[in-house]
Amino acid sequence: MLAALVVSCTPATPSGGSSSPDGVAEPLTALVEPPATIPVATLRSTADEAQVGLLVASHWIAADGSTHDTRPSDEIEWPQHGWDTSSPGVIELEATSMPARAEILAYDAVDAATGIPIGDGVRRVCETDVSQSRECAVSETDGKLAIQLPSTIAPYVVLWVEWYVPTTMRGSAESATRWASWGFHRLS
Amino acid sequence: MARKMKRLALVAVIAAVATGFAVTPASADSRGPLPPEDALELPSEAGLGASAPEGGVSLNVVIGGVSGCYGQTDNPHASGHYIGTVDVESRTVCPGRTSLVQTSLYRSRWYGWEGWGYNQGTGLGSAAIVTRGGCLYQTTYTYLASSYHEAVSAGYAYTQNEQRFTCP
Repeated sequence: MLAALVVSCTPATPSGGSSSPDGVAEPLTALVEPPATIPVATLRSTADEAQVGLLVASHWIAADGSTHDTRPSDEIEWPQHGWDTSSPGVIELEATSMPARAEILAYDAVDAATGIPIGDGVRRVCETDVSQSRECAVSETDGKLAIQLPSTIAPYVVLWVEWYVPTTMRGSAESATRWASWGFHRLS
Repeated sequence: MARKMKRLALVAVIAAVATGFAVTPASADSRGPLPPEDALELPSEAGLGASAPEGGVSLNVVIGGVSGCYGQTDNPHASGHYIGTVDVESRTVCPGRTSLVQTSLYRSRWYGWEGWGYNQGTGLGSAAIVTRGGCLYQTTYTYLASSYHEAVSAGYAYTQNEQRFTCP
């Protein structure tokens, strides 16, 4: 039996759906099982420095179809240590499933009383199997997902990651995705 | 035009001989791409056109390389019919095949995207839904609609669209 898997990632074009610019289907990872539990996110700036991200918010569909939501607390206590100021750093996720969407948000300042970021910040959409944005990228290395931070970035960083949950794995949940966001803080 | 549209497609097809073509939709069994040399090239296909929906014209994305099969997600917009709601229309069209569309509506927050609404629908030949969320008076947010489209024996695709506006 001959079987071929073809997946193509197609940017929008004014003429409607089409294949890649040269008309050739591009191999791409298909849907895979998302992480079962919310992964730990760790920012590594040097070999000796690591900062465990603060889980800020999440929406997680359990295997039984139940949904668990974590909302941001009223006061955010940003991590204080582990990000070497001389290095932009890489955020590692304890997961291997490529997310559908990953974004980095960076803020210059937070409210002194609540820790909630001030202003709109800068948003970067990462390239994934679903998104072709080139503002950042998600890669898999040594059994972990890695998101390289830009060399210049504001001191308060949020990583938001979404995985699509296949229909057969979400029971009766009124949702199609699992997502979570983590906060990191670089001392200046 | 300030409208910002992002459109991406992910199309998967497994072709099997013997009994003809068997095509996989989204599946946890999918493990990744075959080496390039094993990949089957699909012809470039343009999906069927659709009438301009409320909230803005959207582009369609072909599903599985099958002519006439496509998915669309329109722009999220303040509803003209239901005051205080954000609406977004989405659809999967694949004549003669069971079609599925699932749309998650998000609202921009400082910590990423906040789930703001969800809907799904199925139908033979096509499935079209409206996904709604609240639209609080005079508040300004970016809304993101992200859809998963599937057509049995054709494949699957993603479309997404986002729009920033102030609720009336």
